[in-house]
Amino acid sequence: MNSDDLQKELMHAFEGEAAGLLSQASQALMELEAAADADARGQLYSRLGRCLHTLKGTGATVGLMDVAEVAHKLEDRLAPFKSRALPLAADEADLLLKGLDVLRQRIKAHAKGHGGKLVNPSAALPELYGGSALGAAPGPAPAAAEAGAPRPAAAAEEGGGFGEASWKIDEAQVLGLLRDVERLREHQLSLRDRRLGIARAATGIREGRVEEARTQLGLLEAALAHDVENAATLVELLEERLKTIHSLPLGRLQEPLARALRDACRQTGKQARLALLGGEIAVDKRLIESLRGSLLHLVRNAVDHGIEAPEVRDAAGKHREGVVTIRFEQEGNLLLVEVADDGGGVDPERLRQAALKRGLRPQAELKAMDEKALLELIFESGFSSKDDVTQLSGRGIGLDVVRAQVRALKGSVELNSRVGQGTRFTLMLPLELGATPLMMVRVGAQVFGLPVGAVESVLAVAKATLSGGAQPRLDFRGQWLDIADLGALVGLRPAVAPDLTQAILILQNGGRRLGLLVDTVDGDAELVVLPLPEELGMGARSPYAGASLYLGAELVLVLKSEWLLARSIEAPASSALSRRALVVDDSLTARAMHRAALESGGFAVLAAASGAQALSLIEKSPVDFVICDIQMDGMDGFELTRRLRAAPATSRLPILLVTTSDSEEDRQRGREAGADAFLSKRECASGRLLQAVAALRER
Amino acid sequence: MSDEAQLSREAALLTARAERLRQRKEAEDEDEGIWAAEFSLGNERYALPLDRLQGCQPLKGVSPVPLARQGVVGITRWEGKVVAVFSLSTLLGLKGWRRDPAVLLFVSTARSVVGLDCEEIPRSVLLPFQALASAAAGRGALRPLSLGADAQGAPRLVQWIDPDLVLEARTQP
Repeated sequence: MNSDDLQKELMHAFEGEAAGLLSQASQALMELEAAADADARGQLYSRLGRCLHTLKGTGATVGLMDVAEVAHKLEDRLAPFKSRALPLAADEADLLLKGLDVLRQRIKAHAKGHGGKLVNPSAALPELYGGSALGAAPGPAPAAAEAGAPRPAAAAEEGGGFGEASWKIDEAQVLGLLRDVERLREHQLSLRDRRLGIARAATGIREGRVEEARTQLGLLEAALAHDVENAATLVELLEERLKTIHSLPLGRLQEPLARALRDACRQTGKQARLALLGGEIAVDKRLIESLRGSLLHLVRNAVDHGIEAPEVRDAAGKHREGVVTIRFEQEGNLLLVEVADDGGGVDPERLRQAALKRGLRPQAELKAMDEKALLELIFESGFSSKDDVTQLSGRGIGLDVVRAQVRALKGSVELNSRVGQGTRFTLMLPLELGATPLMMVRVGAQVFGLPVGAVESVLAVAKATLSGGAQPRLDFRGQWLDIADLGALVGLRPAVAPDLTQAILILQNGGRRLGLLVDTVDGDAELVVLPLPEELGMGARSPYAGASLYLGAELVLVLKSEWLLARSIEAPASSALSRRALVVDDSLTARAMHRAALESGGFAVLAAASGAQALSLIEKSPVDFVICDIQMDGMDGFELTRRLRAAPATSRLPILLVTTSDSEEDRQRGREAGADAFLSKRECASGRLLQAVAALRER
Repeated sequence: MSDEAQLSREAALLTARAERLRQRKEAEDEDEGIWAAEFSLGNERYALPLDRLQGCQPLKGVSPVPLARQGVVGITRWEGKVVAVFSLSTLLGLKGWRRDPAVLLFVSTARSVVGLDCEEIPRSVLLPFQALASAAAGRGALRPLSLGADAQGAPRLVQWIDPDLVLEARTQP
């Protein structure tokens, strides 16, 4: 490596470290402004001082003397406040934050090789170098003098990224990946041994040493079972490592958003604080980068257009300090981002007048617009409801750009507002990567995932307090909740009454709660939720957020909690009890085809993949007739028929046996077992299924 | 059946097979056909363009999707993606089948790849353009192709499947 390469590498490492330090320093400064307690201030000054000191030292080490100099000046400026843990005035914080912005810009310029174009730092920060007096609110003037430097107000937007186009991997992560490669190599070698073992066993069989080969194959089977487990562990490890490399918690946006809010308040004279919820959700860092600009704009917009001046809020009976709340929530493969303020809201009439004034629409069209359509105008290019143009917003650009950015991420943005109460922007963005914490549950043989965030609690039916009656309710912390059977909600079975082996999940979404009855709960799993193919045609009202690979083998469906809550209050589908069929077949496609034929004949169809499952289903919910395949693993159709006939409740249940073979022997065995009719699948192919069912039901 | 009759029957079969191979050779030589994947389903034979067939595997690892529309068997993974699996019999409007499908075909459509169940592994055949041209006049997802006579002299008919049209008709929300 030559010295240029070394310098570039050092610079790259410093840029990453400095971004973190500057973010911490900026956060500490903003907290200092609000800190009333001297002890707390002392700790914050110490944290801030450490950040500046490290920036100074490391900057000098990589040869960035201007960076070291600015950091040193900031330390000097801070010293008198720090020594006595004095309160930090807003003007002073402005200057120090501006100093951090200048540092951020200079480091970025050096990293891009543009360091030579930078002017002397004293020109960028005259106040810090003993020039003009303090008091200027953060604005574009001095720092913009630097070649290529963005104005401070936009610093949060343009600086302090999390790696931008490239991934940054630390030493531990690289070592972890190297270890995984070594494990894969071991796995490869062990598979090669197994192949050789199989070859030896094959030779043994050819040479008549059958017993020896049998033993050898038995051992190989056990070894291969271990290999399969090993491979699954390796895949999990690799997935986990990749997740940590490409994901970042959304909480990383806290500092730049808080900074944007603070600067906006300083410029407008308003008071507001930021509340960020769901910052622990980790998503692809490229998505965070892409979202950053839009969120910054929405925060500034909330202060400029939403939050009222303190005296106006006073008069309206509100707290002088407004709140801008940013809430992140992951629902399957969707990231929901809400940016809400408790300000004055958007007045649709004002929007109508503003659009008319700017000639965005003909008067007649504007007159005909309802509130929703008027609110949509806010996203149009060139639209502003403000008469005066400010540096923050009201320039006629912004929300159209936000919408364009969100659309570029294949997402959507919605606006809800109530005059006098506030405004809420909801961004919905698809997530390509990133694991979702899911609660895995089972209903019969089907496994489903539910977002853990929607599950408030899990109760065993045996330990739950239920009301009596046909539709029992659940006592949950003093509140009576409706219970809905998940199997019934997704059409797998008619609703069943809770039994002692089952569990109830307390689902909550949008202020509503529901007791969701499931057969068993597997526990939590962090899984990647993949989108379902469009070809399924389930559309926006799909019950599923996507599908995940569970236990390394099968895809499981991930349910939407809001769908379950909505479905539970819908009227149950009317399926006449006299027209309920149970299809028992171990072939998934055969079940699908029987279902299609029977549903076209107006029957409600339940399905079971085995004889045992069929017995369990019939025990819980009666059916009117059974269509059963003969050749099934485990309990075959003859045995199932015998068992149904032996039970008093099903001794007269009509049973139609179907089979791919069409032998007289099978027909005879079917009759002896107690079946009412027999149909070959060839006859099914001729469309005789419905006729056979009709004949069966007329008996 | 006497030995003589058996020999005579085998000779007829071999003659017919030789004739088919000659025709196929000519067709290949003259580049006058389109390769298709041909298979049986229920009581008929079907074919779809071979270049649409992306893969073929045993029918397993399909997860059912409750509340999905008719014809959806479930979902499975194919090359890292989740794909929808359809019952081809149901898509084609057949009322039943001869034997349980055991094969899963991955077929590319205009939008993506879908899985279709099938009773057997398809065989690749070269279908002459002439037969396709006569069928082209027809409309719809399924078009009958007349391919001359089989070894026993019976008319050989194959239903030509247009995967895009079959799915378009059945997957509209």
